[in-house]
Amino acid sequence: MWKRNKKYIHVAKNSFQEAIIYRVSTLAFFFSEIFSFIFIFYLWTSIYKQGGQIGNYELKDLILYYFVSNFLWITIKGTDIAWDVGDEIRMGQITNVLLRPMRYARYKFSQMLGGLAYRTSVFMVVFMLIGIFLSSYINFNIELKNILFFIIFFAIGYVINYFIFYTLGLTTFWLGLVRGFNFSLSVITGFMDGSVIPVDLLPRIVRNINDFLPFKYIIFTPVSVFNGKIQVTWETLVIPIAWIIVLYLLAKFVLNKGIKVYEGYGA
Amino acid sequence: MRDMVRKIKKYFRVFLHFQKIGFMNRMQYRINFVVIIATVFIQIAINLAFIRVVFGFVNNISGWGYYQTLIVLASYLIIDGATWALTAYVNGIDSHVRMGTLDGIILKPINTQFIVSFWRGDTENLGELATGVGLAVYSLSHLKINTRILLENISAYVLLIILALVIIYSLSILVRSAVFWLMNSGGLFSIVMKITESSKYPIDIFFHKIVRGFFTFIIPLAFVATVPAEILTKGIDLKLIAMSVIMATLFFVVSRKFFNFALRHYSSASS
Amino acid sequence: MKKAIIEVRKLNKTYEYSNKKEGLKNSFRDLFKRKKLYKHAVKDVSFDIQEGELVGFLGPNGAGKTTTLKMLSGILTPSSGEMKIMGFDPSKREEKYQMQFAFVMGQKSQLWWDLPAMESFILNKEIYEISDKDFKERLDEFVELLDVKDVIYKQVRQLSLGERMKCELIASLLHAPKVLFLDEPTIGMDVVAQKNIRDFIKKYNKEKKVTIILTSHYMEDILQLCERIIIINLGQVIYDGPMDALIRKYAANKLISVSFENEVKSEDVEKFEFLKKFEGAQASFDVPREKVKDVAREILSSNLPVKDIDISEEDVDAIIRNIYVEKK
Repeated sequence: MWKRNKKYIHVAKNSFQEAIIYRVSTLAFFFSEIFSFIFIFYLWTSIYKQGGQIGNYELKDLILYYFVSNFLWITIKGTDIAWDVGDEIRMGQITNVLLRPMRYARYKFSQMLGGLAYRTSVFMVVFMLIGIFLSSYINFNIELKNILFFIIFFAIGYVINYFIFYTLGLTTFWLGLVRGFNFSLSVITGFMDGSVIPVDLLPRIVRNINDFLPFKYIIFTPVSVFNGKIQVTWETLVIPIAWIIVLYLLAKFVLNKGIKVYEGYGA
Repeated sequence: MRDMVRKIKKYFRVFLHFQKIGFMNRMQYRINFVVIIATVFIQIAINLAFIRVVFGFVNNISGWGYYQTLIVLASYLIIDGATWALTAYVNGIDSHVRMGTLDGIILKPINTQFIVSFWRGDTENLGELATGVGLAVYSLSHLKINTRILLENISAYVLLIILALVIIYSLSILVRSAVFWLMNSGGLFSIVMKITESSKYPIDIFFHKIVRGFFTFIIPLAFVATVPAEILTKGIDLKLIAMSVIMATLFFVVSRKFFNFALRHYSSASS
Repeated sequence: MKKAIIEVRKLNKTYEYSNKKEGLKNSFRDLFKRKKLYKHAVKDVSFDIQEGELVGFLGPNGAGKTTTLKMLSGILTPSSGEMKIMGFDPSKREEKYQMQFAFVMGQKSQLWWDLPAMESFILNKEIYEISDKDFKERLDEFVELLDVKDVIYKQVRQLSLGERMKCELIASLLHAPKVLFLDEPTIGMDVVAQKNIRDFIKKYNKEKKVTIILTSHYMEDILQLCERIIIINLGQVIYDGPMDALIRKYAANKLISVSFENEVKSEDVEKFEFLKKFEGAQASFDVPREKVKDVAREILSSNLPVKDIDISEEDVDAIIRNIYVEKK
């Protein structure tokens, strides 16, 4: 089994290499996210100038929240997975998908993983530097065990996000073009995952709906684990992992259904 | 003189043709069309939700009250909606260079910058424009402003919105022109989008003078939404209007020169 | 002597490009430094073309034909040299000049992909300021000549290559240009479509006295259409003269390609003269033009299990080789 999967390491490595070549767009993406963070920083600092606190967040807590949230946004959501998959299907790399569906699934996952590895390694360094520079504005009171738990939830968040958008990309088999739904889903998850505003600051109705959805585990939960606002126990892991299983099965189902639909039209 | 009228008519007809084509093209994928319209509204709702939540805890942001802040957002929506509908942030440059079809455009007897600017127009975003106007009207009705003064303000506001459109257009041209060297400007463009999106809050949030200065004179976000909103709510300020005119003119001229420079580079290097 | 409508003197074009290398280590190195290389795409090209001529540019891929056309149409600026077309310098991109020429590219469409070709015609009508009357007259004429009455209302992406090229031609000719550049117009087409396009081009050139430069790497195209041919190789003009002279001197032979039902013995094939290449179930013969019919008949009437036989012009590389050989 190891031998069979060796080639996927190659795929990941290639993807890492490509990311280096497209250094300009990576750099640009980086600057736009940094800019985003600077902006949020000023916005909330201005808001807090009134005094007091918002929810159970002090200013420094909130800045930390957005700091980590930005890091996660860059690493986890750094590529347009749905568009990538949709493009491959539309442009006719379909034959690979049709002949060996599981192979394609594994190929895609490792390819995206390569990109993740690149972004994580680069931006971990960058964010640490920024963190040192801005340390007076951020509440960096972090326990070591939280960092370890963070790594676990980082992985969980990535996998959940991956399966959601991977499955969306697969619907290209029916829809022909996922631009609309991709935009739609990105906007909705972008709000529900806590990257616009921490989920626990939202009105109760919204919070209740959100609890039944997997989105908050992409950004909000890992960030809250990092800053200690969520205490990690075995129970906290159950729901996100259940979501991973559900989404994995959904992805597999959609892939098989999609192939049948495509073959039904006669290649 | 007659020559100029003829030219204006020609360019206007070509522009209308592009708008028609844009609509036809996007209507082809009906589901996507509807979904995008719906999503644009969801985005607006999210922006409003954010402001609501924040104002649930405080009653002003850097001196801007609830309705005043909404007007800044409304101005942004009007400008963003109009820009998408007219030029789609000059996406034409990107798509033509990538697909290699720019050659067919350069050799035609019509200004190349004009063609790539209006090549694509996303009709779905007219809804955003309308919502912006609606939001502005709603917010104004909650602010007690003398009717006569209000009418003056509105005329100045319309001028400033047009100037803001020119600024955003020029900024897009400047950044997009980089594709002539890089062949892949998607990343650069996301910076412009991110920066433009940040204009939906009053720039007074940048309490450090240097940063505020940067976003007023170097990347003139201030003139996109904050200044128009200020004029609309607080009254005509000739100094601000004059500055807007200067900034818009400056950026337009510089961006046009840069585009032509980039085009010349393309003409000597492409294969 | 009448002044030529197209005058080209010592045209040159040199490109800079960088070399991308494989492997992770080299990708890191490329981050910091890239080696610059130069390509001399067009070297001292000169020629004159009279009004109404139909000239063929022949040459292998990458020879510089397309680059030359791009300079003549103002898309690329030359590194050095002079050009005068209808009295204009193309690099200046004057509107008056642009109104009078057209450039059809075989590999790049100038039509809206997702919409009917008609929409692209309307766009050109506006851009080239064609009157309603002229537009209707010319469109009707082309539609009838090319038999595309229903085609122009179908989405361009649904058209066959031949149908699409017909629409490209119409789009480019609606403004009645005096000069027409055609870059590989029949590339990728089947034999019937190629013939249709060639017939149209020939007829259009004769009737409207339009000056046409046609590039191709298919000898067939140029043979059928052009009385004068310019051969370009490695950026240089190596032949400029009448077609029949070229045929007589450098393309004296035609290529007969045969494929067999099954593998045949080499002796059976070698007994025919002019054998060029033999590989189990395929053979090709380099035959002088006068003898082509006879040799073909011999092969077909022999007891070899012939599956398919194809007679074509020698490829352009062979012709070029012949030219170089003679020059020595």
